[in-house]
Amino acid sequence: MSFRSLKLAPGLAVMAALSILVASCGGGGSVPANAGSSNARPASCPLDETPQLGGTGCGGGPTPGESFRFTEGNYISSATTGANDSANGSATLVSTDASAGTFSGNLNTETGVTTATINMPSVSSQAMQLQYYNGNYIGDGTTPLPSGGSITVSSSGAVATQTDANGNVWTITGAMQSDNRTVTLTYSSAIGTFTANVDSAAWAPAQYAAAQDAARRAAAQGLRLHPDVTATQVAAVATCIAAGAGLVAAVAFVIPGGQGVAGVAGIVAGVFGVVAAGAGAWATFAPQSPAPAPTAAPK
Amino acid sequence: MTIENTQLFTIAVICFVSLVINFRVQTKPLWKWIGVGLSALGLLIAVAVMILQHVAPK
Repeated sequence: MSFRSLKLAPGLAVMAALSILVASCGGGGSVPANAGSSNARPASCPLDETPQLGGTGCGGGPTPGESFRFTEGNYISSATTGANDSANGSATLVSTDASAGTFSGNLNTETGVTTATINMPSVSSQAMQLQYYNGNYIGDGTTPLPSGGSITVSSSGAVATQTDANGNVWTITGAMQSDNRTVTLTYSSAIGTFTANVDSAAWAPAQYAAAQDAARRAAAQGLRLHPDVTATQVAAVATCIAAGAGLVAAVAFVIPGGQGVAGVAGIVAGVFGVVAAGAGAWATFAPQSPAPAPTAAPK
Repeated sequence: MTIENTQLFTIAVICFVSLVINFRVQTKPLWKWIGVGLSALGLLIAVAVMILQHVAPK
């Protein structure tokens, strides 16, 4: 199931559209392209022609304020031509679940700056991909951005590069925001820059959960009185106590009238023997704490 | 992080001695069997860890 949006103004030297491609979205099957739309999606045009916004033909020029809208899959998207060779688009997740996701984007081909803001549902397993359409061609399967690959994002940020099918080298910088949830991705290349704020809980739920788990462990570690105490040390101390109690029990056992003391000391030795053996087992076989996991790239 | 076999052996010996003493001691049955049970559990864990370390060292 896929989603493509923003059929942008024709006749532009750099024509781009941003879309959110949402895969594996729950609920509902894929609606064939153009189905249920008030205005059909423009037909794909040859490379030397441009699609007419809001129509089905190719060629022609943009009219500011003209808009079109179409429904595809579980999403409704729209694009509106603006002044100064710009186009604005938006998309709304309409039917996959109760918490709708939104997308808004803007392209100004004079400045070459494209921005996109994505707000995904806070609870979602949907994979997300930004798709970028370049050149005078809008249609299915044009250059996706990023086209696979991966980017590592951590609290200190990360940088990756990716080359799209048109030869544009994109530098992708990711940074976890102070809320430890929002990841800001900045895509920069010679033809423009856009940023995307992504909710990591939806974008990479497994990595987000791992990061939160690591943060909780770190917080718990900080609250410990002696955070450097290990299971091995616990086992050593418990062994000593058990040995002492066992010695007392043995001595008391052979002394007339020492049965009571031997009983108590025997129980103490048993308790600390269990603690020592359990700590030893934990030290040997407990899973190691994983390092905080980085977030993954949109696919 | 692992625990030394010698330490596990020490724990096992202590638990065994404790087990014998608890078993032989003349005290109330409840406490007697609590002591016996705990000692046996400690002995069991120590021996099991020794065996598992040998079978599947980590």
